[in-house]
Amino acid sequence: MRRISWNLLPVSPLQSFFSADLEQVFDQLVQGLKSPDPNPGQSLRLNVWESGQTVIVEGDLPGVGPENLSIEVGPDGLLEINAKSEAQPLPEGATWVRRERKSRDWNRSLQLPFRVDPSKVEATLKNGRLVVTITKQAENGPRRIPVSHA
Amino acid sequence: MNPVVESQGTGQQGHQHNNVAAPTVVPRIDILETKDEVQLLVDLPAVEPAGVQLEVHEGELQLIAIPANTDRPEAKSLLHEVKQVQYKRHLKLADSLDHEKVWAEQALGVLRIHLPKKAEIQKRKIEVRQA
Repeated sequence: MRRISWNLLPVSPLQSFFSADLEQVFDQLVQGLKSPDPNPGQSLRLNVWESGQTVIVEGDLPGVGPENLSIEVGPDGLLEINAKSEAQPLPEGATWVRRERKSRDWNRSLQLPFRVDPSKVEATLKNGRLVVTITKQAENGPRRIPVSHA
Repeated sequence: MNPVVESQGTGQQGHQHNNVAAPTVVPRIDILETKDEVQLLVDLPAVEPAGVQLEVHEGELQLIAIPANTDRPEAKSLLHEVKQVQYKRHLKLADSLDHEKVWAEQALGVLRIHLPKKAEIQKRKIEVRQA
């Protein structure tokens, strides 16, 4: 399985130079140089937002139903998303005239920079957009120890 | 003859045009043909049905779609790879298609545009006469 792990570090000027399309072209060129991938797919682009104890992860998955989507979150903050678009069966007697939509599989591993509570993760799919809402694990911060007189 | 061809000046699919508001993306499409119609499948993630503008004008199908804005000004952005865009594509329709009966449906972020063939085209049957 192709996994790409991203740490949420600031992007370099070189990274930000690439537009989304250039990244796609670059991905395809790199894929062509590598040995065949047993599970080819494309890296799912994500937006990640943080608001207090909540983290929201969003990505576009057109044609994907809940039954073809796998989301795993570990307490260490490792988020894994694997999705496969539903096959488009041709109606009987129909033929393809043109096919531009490429790989219909997406996957992405993302290391969030904090621990999370796996029991408090929710995901919704609406109009092909995935929204995963994650709750950070409450930190066990320093506790003040009262000292009493002997 | 190809039932649907690219109009002039729309650029390549997947190509982004920089725009002050939101970059315009030419969405990729699949086209299939059945006995009765031609169907276009267009990926339009995060687009509500109200955000789709589909028109047929002088034999040209014009598609404009604007995804819902999911910017969260109250939150801190940790990663921003999904850009706010608008989708736009123009396609010239063959005369064999009934331009008045175009309709579309949307599911899972995919728009399916139905382009029925004209009735006389659908019923085209070759008569074989006895010599």
